[in-house]
Amino acid sequence: MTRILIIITILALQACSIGNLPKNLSRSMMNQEDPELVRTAAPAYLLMLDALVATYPDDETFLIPAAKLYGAYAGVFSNDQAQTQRMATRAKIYAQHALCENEEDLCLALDQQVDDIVLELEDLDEDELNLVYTFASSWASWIQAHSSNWDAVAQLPKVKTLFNWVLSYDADYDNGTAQVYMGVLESQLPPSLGGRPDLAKMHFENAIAASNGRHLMAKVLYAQQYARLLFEQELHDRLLTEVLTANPIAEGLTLINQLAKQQAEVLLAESAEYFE
Amino acid sequence: MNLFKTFLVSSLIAFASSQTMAATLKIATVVPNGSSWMNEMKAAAKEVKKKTDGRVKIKYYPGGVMGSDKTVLRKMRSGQLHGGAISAGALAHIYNGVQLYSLPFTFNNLAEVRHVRKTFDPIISQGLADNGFQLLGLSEGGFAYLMSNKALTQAADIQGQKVWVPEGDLIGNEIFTVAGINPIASPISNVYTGLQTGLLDTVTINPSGAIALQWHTKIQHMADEPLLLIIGMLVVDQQAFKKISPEDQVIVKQTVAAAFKRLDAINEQGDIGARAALQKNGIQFDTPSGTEWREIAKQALSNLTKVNAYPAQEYQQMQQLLKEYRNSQQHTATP
Repeated sequence: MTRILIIITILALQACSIGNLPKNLSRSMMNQEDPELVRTAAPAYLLMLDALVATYPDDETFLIPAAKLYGAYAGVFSNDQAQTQRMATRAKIYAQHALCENEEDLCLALDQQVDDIVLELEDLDEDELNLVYTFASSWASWIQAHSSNWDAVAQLPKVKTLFNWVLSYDADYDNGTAQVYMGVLESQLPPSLGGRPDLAKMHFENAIAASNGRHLMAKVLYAQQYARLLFEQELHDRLLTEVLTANPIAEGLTLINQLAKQQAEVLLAESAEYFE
Repeated sequence: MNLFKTFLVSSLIAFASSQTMAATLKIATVVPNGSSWMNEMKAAAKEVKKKTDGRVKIKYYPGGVMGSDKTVLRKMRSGQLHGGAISAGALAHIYNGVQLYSLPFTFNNLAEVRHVRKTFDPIISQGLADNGFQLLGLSEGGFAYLMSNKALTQAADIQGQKVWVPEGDLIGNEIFTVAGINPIASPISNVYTGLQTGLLDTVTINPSGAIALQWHTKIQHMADEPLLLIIGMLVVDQQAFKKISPEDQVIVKQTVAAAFKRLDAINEQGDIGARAALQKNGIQFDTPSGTEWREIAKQALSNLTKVNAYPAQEYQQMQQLLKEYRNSQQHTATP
């Protein structure tokens, strides 16, 4: 699942608003058609968020957007593994701090068994969706950035538990992106090893439906993760062709759709060799 | 004219054949993409292609897309596939020598394994060759341990447990039968659900496997004594392999063998990290007391000679080699 989880972190950006900073900055970024422009402009914004977190260390108003932007940048624009790991770690620290400031019991349960987390989640409601979702996506990205570490991989079931809780409140959360995360997480193991790609398929389909088909990265990951896992070339090629011909402009999804188009082109070019 | 055309076409075909001595080895495995096994096997394929100037390509079908190990072997017989990266046990009905490293309580550590491999890898390779299989790679998948929902420090603790053994695993089946229980044989694909629903509560697996398959979320204890060694092998059908030129065969053998040697080190490191991760995740490591399990395994192995489940003579030779090695190690340790 090379970089998959961290790449989709960028989608979480759209939900953030940054206190005193211009409210539309994140939104503008997600609606930007030129990924290169965002790549070069975002670091200055990251440093600004660091400064704001340093000034208001316990304020989720800054912790949450900082976690989201660090996670997104690590996933999409960082090409250096050490840098990706550093940024993903910072994203997780920010998101976890925000969660722990607000939900101490859940925070303590994170180091316990999955059942303990489930128990603590029962006490939460939709007001905590953004906190839990941001932490879950930061945690998933951190695991991805440390995927050669078994201790990191061992934590994946806990991340799934958090996403499932989010989906139990809002199946369309974040334009269907919570579904995309679950799609990727459920397509890691083939059925022959006890994996449930049928669940992955359901999550990807849900994500596409939630965005009325405008979530092009959901289609790309559906092709890359599910169709390749099950060797379904027809589905793979159809999804990617749809992405290539689709209009990328969509509220909150334009930037990621542009990236999806770039990725779709590469995957489609490899199709014959992969499935032959 | 028609005759001319036929000759022309024939000569073109002949020309094409002489030019494209290219061969593609189609190899399937249940190992998923992204795993260290697949990464190294893919690296080997890339290297083979480069070193043979594209004359030999290796095409993988990962993630069990071609079915279980058993199905892969059937498809190899029908010619649909040329090879498989499979568990050693899957080949036991073809040549029982593949079980040599996986017999219970044979090794105490990987140094012992590596010592005997120098002698026995060639024997296993020859045994497979005699049965139509070319062994290209053999690698240690790590030691498997008994993992359960309760501490299994004595043999009696296994009573009443719902113990999984892989389908068709004669050896595992016999051990638990001697221990006095009926193990539950099922494909690996059913184990996680079995652990979830309570149909199973005890498995034998290596630490990294337990995490990769997420079984670690359903177990609380690990009996900290290596029960058996997991072995993975990459074999190809000899007839298919012989279609490759002798020079290219050497390249393929060397390149794949090197990849599997790298895997030995990667898997060893992986299991060290995975053990620590299991402990960090609250799984308790229990030290088995006494030699009961070893006595049970001994009895099981004795019973299994009657059904020729493993080559008893070679196993005795291996035990002798291990004895000499252990003595030499003790000698070195106490100057």
